Amino acid sequence: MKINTFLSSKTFKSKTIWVIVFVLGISLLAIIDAVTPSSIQTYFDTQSLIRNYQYSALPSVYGIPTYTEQQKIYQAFDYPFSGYTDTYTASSITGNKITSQSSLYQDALVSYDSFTDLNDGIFLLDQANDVSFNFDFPYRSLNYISVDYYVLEEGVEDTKISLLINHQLPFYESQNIVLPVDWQFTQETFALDRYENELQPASSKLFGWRNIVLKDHRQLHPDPYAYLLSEDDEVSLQFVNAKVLIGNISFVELDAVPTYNDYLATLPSANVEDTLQLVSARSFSTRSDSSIRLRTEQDPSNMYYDTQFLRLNTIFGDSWEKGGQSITYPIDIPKTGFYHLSFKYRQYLLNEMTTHRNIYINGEIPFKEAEAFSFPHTMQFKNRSLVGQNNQPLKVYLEQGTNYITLEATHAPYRQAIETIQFLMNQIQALSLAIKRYTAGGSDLYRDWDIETFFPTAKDDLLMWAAMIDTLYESLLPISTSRNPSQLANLRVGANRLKSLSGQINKLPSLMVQFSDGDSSVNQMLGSLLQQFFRASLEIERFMIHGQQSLPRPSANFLVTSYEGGARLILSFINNPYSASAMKEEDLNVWVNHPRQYIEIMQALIDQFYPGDRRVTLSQMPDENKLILSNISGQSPDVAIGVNHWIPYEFAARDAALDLRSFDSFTEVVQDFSPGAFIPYVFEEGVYGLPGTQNFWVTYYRKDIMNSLGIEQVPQTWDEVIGILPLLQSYGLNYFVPLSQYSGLKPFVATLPFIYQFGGQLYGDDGMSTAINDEKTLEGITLMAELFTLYNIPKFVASFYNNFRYGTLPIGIGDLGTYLLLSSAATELDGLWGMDLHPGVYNEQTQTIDRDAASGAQGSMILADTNHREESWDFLSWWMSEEIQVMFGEILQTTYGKTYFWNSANVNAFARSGMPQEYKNVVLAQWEYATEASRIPGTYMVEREISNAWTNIVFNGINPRQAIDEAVRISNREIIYKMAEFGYTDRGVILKPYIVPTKETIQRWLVAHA
Amino acid sequence: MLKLMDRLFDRMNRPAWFVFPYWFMFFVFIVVPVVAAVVLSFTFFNSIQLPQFIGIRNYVELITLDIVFMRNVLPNTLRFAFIVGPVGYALSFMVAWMLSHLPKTPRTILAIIFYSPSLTAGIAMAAMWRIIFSGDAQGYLNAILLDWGLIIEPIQFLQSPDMLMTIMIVVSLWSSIGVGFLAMLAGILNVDRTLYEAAYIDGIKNWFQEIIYVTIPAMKPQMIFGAVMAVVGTFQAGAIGVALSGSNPTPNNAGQLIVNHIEDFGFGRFSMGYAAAISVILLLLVYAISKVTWKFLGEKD
Repeated sequence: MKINTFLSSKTFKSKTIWVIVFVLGISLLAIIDAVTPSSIQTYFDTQSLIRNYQYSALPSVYGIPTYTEQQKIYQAFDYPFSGYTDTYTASSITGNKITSQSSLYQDALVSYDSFTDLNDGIFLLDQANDVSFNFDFPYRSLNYISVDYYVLEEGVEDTKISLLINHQLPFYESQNIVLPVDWQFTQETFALDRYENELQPASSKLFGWRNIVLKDHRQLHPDPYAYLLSEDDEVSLQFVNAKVLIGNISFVELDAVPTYNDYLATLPSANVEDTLQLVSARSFSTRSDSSIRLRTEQDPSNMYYDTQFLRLNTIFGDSWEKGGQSITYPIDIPKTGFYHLSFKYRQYLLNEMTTHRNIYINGEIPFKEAEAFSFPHTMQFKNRSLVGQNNQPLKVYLEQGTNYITLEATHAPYRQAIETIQFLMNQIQALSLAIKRYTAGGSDLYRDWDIETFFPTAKDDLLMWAAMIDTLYESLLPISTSRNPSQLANLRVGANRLKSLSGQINKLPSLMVQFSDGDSSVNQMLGSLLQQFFRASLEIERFMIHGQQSLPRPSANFLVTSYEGGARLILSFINNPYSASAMKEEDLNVWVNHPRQYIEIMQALIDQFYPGDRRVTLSQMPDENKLILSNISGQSPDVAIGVNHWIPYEFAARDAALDLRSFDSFTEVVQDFSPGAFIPYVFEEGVYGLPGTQNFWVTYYRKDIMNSLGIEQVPQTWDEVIGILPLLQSYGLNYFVPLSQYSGLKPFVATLPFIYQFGGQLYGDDGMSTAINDEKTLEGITLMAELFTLYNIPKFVASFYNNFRYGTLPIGIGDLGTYLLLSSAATELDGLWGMDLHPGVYNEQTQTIDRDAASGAQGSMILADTNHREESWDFLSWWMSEEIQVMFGEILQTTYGKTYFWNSANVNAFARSGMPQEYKNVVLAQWEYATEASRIPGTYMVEREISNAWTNIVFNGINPRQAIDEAVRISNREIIYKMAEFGYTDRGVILKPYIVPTKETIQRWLVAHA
Repeated sequence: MLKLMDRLFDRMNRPAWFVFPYWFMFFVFIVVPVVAAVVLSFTFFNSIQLPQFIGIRNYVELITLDIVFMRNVLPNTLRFAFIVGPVGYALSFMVAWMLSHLPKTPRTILAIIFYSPSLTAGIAMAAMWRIIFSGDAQGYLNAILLDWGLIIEPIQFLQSPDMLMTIMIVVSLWSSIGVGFLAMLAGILNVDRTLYEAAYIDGIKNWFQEIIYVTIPAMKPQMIFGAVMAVVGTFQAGAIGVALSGSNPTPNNAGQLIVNHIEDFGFGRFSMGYAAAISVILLLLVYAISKVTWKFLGEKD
C-alpha cells in the first residue's frame, strides 16, 4: 500500500471541491451560531396574577383556613387597614424576659440597638415560654406586624415561630413563620482542592438582630400577612422548633410598590450612564439559604473558566428554586445615575413558561415591573434585561458607592394555580374515597354501579372541576411564551379526562386509575404539575450594570467552543482526581464508597482539621468487589469507608481485617453508637468494623387519609395493624410492609423484625445450628405469612413511595430513602404525612412493646495488610467522632442542600443533624431498638431459607411448621459445612463452639471495658 | 520518508501479522481464563486469601454434597436449554425463511426488528418484562387479566416458584432470534434460485418439500452455526432469572441456572474455587452438546 498513490489519486479538482465544502460547512455553522438570538427581552405581565385572590379555590385539607381564605374574608367584609403604627417594647410585652441581670444572652442584649433602658429587656422564646402582648388600638382592623429577632439556632434548620391571636391560629400559615437569616461563606476566596479544582467554601449564619414584617416565607403572597385584630386581643408568639430571642414588636404601615413612572417622577431626570460592569454570580455577599450553591458551567465565555480545572461560576438552578430563597450582591457604583440591569441566565425547568424573581435594590423593590420579574424558558444561556411594557429596558437609579441587589425567588404568580390544584386534588381524593367506600374498593368493569343515585352531585362536580382547570389554563397564558404551552399539557389532558369521566359516571369505580389512583390519573397529573409550580428554578452566571451599549454574547462562538471541548477531552485523561489506582505507600490510603461530592468534602475536612501526622489520601472505591480482589493482589488500601455492612465480617473471618477491639481507645469511641449496630461486625471475640451510616425503618402515615377514615391512633403493635386492616381494605386501601418490596429473596431487613420482636433467635447457643424452629420464631414467621395469606396485604409493591403519594397505601413501614423522597420530592404532601415508630409486639413481662428492626447501612474497616495500624485507627476514630460527623453533615447540607442528609451512625452526631426535630425524635427512639442479624459462617443460608419458607407457606400453601422444618434441615447442613472452612467442624464433627454475637454480648463488652 | 514507510508496509505485508491480533486476543481472553479456571477448580480459593490446592475435592463435593445443584440447578438448566435451544432455533429458521420471501426494504426493516431483542437482551430487556409481569395490580399482564375479570387478585408471576421458569422460557424465546437468525437469513438468500426450478422439474410439489430438499441442504453451514450458537447461548444464559425475580438465588431456586449458581458461589459465598469447578463442568457440558449437534447436522466428509 502506497500512501502517496492514495493522495495523488485525487485530482486537483476534487481536492479543491473538498476544501470548499469543508470551509462552507464551517462557516454555515458559524453563521447559525452568530444569528441565534442571544437575548430575550420580552416582558411578561405578572402583576395581574400575584395579588389576585378572586378565583382562588381553597384546599380545606388543613382544618384551619389558609391565608388566601382569610384574604377573601377580608375582602368580603371590607376590613380596613388600621394605619396604626406603634412599637411594643419590653414593658408592655410578657414573656421570659432577659435583662442585664440575666446570666445568658448578654451579647445579644448589648448588641440590640433599640435597647436603652436598663429595666428593659428582650425575650427568650422557648418551649416553655410564649411572648405575648395585648393589642391596644380601638378599631377592628387589619395590621402588619413587625418583629425584631435574634436567631440562636446554628444548624441548617430554619427558625420558625407561630403567631396566635387569643390562643388561636388566625390562619394555617401563621403556625410556621420562618425568621430568615443570611448565610455567608466562611472564607472569602475559593480554595482549590488537591487536584486544583475549586471548592465551594462552607457557609455560616450571620448572627445579629434583624427585623421582619411577618410574611409568607415561600413568597406565595407578595405582601406581608395582614392580621385582623380588635382591641385587647392577646397576640402571642410561640416556639416551633428552635429557641429565638425576640425584641420589640411593632405595627407598621407599608407603601405600595410604585409604578415605573411614579418611580421616575421621584428621581432627578438624567440619562443612562455609559458603562459596562460585569458581576459574576459567585460574588454574592449573602444568601438566605445555604442550600443555594454554585456549579461549574463549562463555557469559555464565562467570567470564571479554566480549560482543565473546574471553576465555580454559576448558581445551580436546582438549588435555587424554592420561594423566598434570595441572593444578595454588592456592587460598587462609581457615579450616581441611571443604569440598566441585565442577567445572563438559564431557566431549564418550566417549558414555555416563566419562573420569577423579585428584584430588590438596597432592600426595596423599586417599581412594579421588578416585582415577580419573569425569566422565560431557555436551554442555552441568554441575556435578559430588566424590561417593562413594550419590551423596553428599564433604568434603575443607583447612588455612588456600594449598592445591594437582591434576587428573591417567588411563587406568587403561580399561587392561584397551586391553590386550585390543591383544591382539586383534595376534592378528587375525597370523592374517590367515598366511592371506594361504597364499592368496597371494587373495580369490576362489568358490574353495574349506581353512582348517580348515591352521589348525585358527582357528575356536576366533575364538570365543574374541568371548567376550573380550563379557567386556570387561560389565566396562566400571560406568563407563557406560547399559546399552547407544553408545560401545561397536563391541565388540558386532565380537564378532558374529567369531562369524559363525567359522561360515564356510573363506570367511575372501574376507571379509578384514570381518576385518582396511579401514575396517569388526573390526580397524579395535577400533582406532578403542582410540584413543578413549586420549583422556581433559575441559573445565573452574571449580571451586568450597563448603559446603551450591546452586551457580551452569552456563549463563546462555535470555533472556540469546539477547540476548548477538544482540549478538555484530551486533558480528561491526565487529570483524574480521587482515582484508586494512584496510591502512595507512605500515605494513609483510604477507599471511600460514597459519591464524589461527599469525598471532596471529606478530603477538604481532612486537609483542614485532621491532626494526625500521616497524610491521608482518599480515593473513590470503584466497586466493592475490587476491594475483595485488591487484598490478594496486595493493592488493598489501609482503610475502607462506606462498605456494605456485611463485608467487614467476610474479611474478618478470612484474616483480612483488623480487630478494632485491640485498640485501647475502642470502648471510648464506641460509646456514641447503638450497640445493636455492631452486631454485623462481630466475629468471635473481635469487632471488625465501625458503623458509618445507619438506616431506620419506621411507620409513615398519611394524616389526611387517616383523619378522613377516622383512624385516630397510629397502630403500635401488629395486633393494632391487623385491627385497622378491615377498615382500610373496605376503602380499597392497604398497609405496606417491606416484605412486599423485595420480589425475589426476602432479605433479613424484611424478615428480622418478625423474628426478634417475638423473642426468637436465629441460631442455637453453640452457633452450630439455626434456631428458627423454636416456638417464638415460628409465631413470628406465621404472622409474617398470615399478613399475606389471611389479611391480604399486597404481595408485591413496586414503590411504596408512589403508592403513598397516590394514597392507595396510606400507611406502611419505610426507611431513610422514603423519608428523603417524602421530604424533598413530595411537595404536594407537605404537612400531610407523619412518622411513627415501627410496629412491634407487646411484651407482657416488661409491659413494653418490642419494636426491633434492622438498621444496617454502611460501615468502615481497617484492612489487615496495613502498615499503619495505629494511624489507621486514629484516623477512623477521628472520622467517626461526634464533632467531625456533625461538621461533615452540616457542610454536606450547607454545600449541597437539605437532600444531602447524612445519617451518621454516631448517635450523638445524628441527634445534632439537620433533620426536623419531630422526625429526629422518632428515629432516635427507633434506634433504641436498632438491631441486625448476627453473622456466623453460613448465615446466608438461614436468610435464604427463611425467605424460601415464606414462599412455601404463601405460594405453595405448605403448613408453616413443615416449611420451617425443611428450612432448618437445609440451613443446618450448610452451617456445619461452612464451619469446616474456618476450622469449627471437621467432616460434620463439631470441634469447638462458635460464639454467636448478640446485643447483650456487645453491651457486656462495653461495660466490662469501661 | 515515504520510502521508509513503504518498507515498513512491505514488512507488515506478511500473513503472520494478519493472524497475530486474533491469536493475541484469543490467548489473552480465551486461553488464559480457561486455563486459570481449570487450575482454580482444584483449589480452595475464597478470593480474599491465596488459593490452596485441594485436589478434586470441589468436584467430589459438587457431585455428592451440592443438593441444590443436583435437585434444582442441573434440571433447570437442562429443561431451559432443551426448550429454549431447539424451539428458539426453529423459530429463528422460520422467521428467516418467511422474511426471505419479502422484498429487500421491508425485509431489512423487519430483520432489524426481529433481531433487536437479542441485542438488548439481559437486564434492559428484563426491566421491560418485569413491568409486564409485575406482581401488583399495575403490572400490564395483571392489569389486563384483572380487567377481563379472569382473576380477582394479581398473580405473583415473578415471586411464585411455579411461574418463574415458564416466564424465563417465554422471555428467552422472544429474544432467541439472534445472530444465528441473521446467518440463516443470509444462507436462505444465497441459495441458488435455479436449484428450486430444477427441484420442481424433478417433482417436488410444495414449499415444505422445498425447505426439506433444497433450502436446508443448501445452507448447511449456516444451520450448524445457528445450532451451535443456540446451544451455547442457552447454557450460558443466567441473567434472565435473576433479573426477573430480582435476586440471586431465585425464590426456592425455581429459576436457578448453572451460571447463577457459579455467581452465587463465587461472589456470594466466597468460594471461588468451587465456582471455578462448576464453570469447568459447564464448559464440558457445552462442549459435549455442541459436539452432539455437530454430529446431527455436520458435513459427513
